[in-house]
Amino acid sequence: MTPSTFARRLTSRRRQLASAAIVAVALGLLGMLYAALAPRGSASTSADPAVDEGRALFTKLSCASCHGLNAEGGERAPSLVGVGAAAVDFQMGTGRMPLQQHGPEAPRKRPVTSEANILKVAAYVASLGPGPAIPQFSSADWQKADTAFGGALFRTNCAQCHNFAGSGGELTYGKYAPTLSDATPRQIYEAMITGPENMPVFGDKQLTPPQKLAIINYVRTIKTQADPGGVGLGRVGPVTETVVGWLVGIGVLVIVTIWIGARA
Amino acid sequence: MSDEPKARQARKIGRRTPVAEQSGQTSMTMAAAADEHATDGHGEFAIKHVDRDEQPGEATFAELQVAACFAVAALAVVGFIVSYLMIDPRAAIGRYMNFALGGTLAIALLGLGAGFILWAKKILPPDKVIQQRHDFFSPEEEEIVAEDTFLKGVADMGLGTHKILRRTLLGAAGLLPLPAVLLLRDLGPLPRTDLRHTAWGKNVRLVDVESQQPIKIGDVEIGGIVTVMPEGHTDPDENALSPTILIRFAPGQIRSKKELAWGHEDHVAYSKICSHAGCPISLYEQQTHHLLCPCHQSTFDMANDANVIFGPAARRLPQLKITVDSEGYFIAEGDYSQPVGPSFWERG
Repeated sequence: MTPSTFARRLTSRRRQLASAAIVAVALGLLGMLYAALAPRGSASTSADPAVDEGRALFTKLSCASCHGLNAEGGERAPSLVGVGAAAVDFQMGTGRMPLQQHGPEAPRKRPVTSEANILKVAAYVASLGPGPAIPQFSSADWQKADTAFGGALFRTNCAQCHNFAGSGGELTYGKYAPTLSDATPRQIYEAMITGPENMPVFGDKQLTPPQKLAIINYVRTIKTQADPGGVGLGRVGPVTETVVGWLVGIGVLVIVTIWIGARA
Repeated sequence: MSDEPKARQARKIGRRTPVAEQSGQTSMTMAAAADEHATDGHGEFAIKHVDRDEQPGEATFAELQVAACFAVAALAVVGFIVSYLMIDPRAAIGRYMNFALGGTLAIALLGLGAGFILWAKKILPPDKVIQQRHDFFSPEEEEIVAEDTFLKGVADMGLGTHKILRRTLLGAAGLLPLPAVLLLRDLGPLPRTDLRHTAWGKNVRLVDVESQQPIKIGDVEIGGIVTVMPEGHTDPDENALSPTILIRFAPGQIRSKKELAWGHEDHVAYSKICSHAGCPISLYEQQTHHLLCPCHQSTFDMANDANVIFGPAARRLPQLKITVDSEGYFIAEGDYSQPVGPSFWERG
């Protein structure tokens, strides 16, 4: 190594140090300027106390371990900016979040925290960006909706995955559409407007709120409907019915025939 | 009589003297045949007496069992009547009405049947009854008589002498198959070009299949899917191949340049009819962009021009070229550029 190249290297090293120092000083000045100009206290609190409590819960309930401290998302979980309060209420209210383990489909579980806490987290996430709000309707609203029309809409938009009686069904690569028997009217509504996991989104212009209430009424009506045959067999259609018919029905007939033909 | 079956007699047709020469003997042969038939040994029974080795009290117990079966059957009949009269089908308990009626009737029939079977097994004398099988062919004389009668009839018809009868008979018999051939016409008409066209055309609006409302940009959310039909076409025959799905992607999700170009602002329209067996497909997974056919699990990657990634489908789903009209509603730019739905012979 000749002295001239050594000197040149030294100069370039010095230059780098200098530019780093300039950036550091500029950042420091900017920070001081911000601290001086920004309104006091706004960095950590907001107008709504629920948002602050929600932010605390977001870390405490370990949402932040995957979604990031500011819900910006990460390698393992999506950003929550703009998903709205309805998505939080659905995912936490059905116990799907916090996620137990990564897999093709998040199963329904008992919620880890109270509804009040879920609403606080929802308020926090909603404050991050505009998204679908938690739908407000009473049970009288959906109970007076048109069940038959809801059934037609359900068969066009929902039955292909969730089965004609809302029993759920398989999708690709281990994913599945869950049964609707446990879903509350609010959760059904939230699922339609947020499209959890692989479910498509059904916005209010595609399925209007009255149409959504009609679908909810249909789902709740078939849930409470009796099985006229005595046993629903999971209400998954002709496959189970045929299996039971062949194995149990014909099996019993064969056994009885053997008994009749056997010598005393 | 012997237990071994008799060997069948060789047939006599073509090896006997003509009917005319024999006709005098016919009645005698028949009488002889009838005689032998009578002594042929049909329906002989042999009863082998078997003693039932019974424990004391077993007979009484068997009697009780049968009686219990019948009593259960009787109770079930009463149960049927009571459930029919007492259950109000409109009340909450009404959901069990079918179950109660079917259940009690089944128990009644099963109880009766089981009682009879037990009666036969445990109380009737356990004797063995043996009956020999009779021969499965007719006696030779009967065969000869039948043959003679037939041949005499043919001779009496005199087809050789009644020319006109022979010709008209042949004519009528020859024409008889024609209606069956003519009815094959109903397998048609041939579809001609019907399989290559749908009701879509230039500037036809996309309308929601249920509400029949046209669809604007923004009506479908990102990750949404809607089944659409061509506006103003409600004839089911005409619309059989028209069902189409409109999917909205997030910007940048569509990987195929052609798909992007044929869509409009991240909205794309594809045929809803599976290219495998023609099932309507709409199991859409909005995160993976897979569209799954419920019939045979053909899976299409909707972000990559409906490429088949699993299942028996042989082709991508055809894409419908769409744009928006001056009022902002989605319209088709024309019909599908290729036949939709499953393959057919002349598809090419």
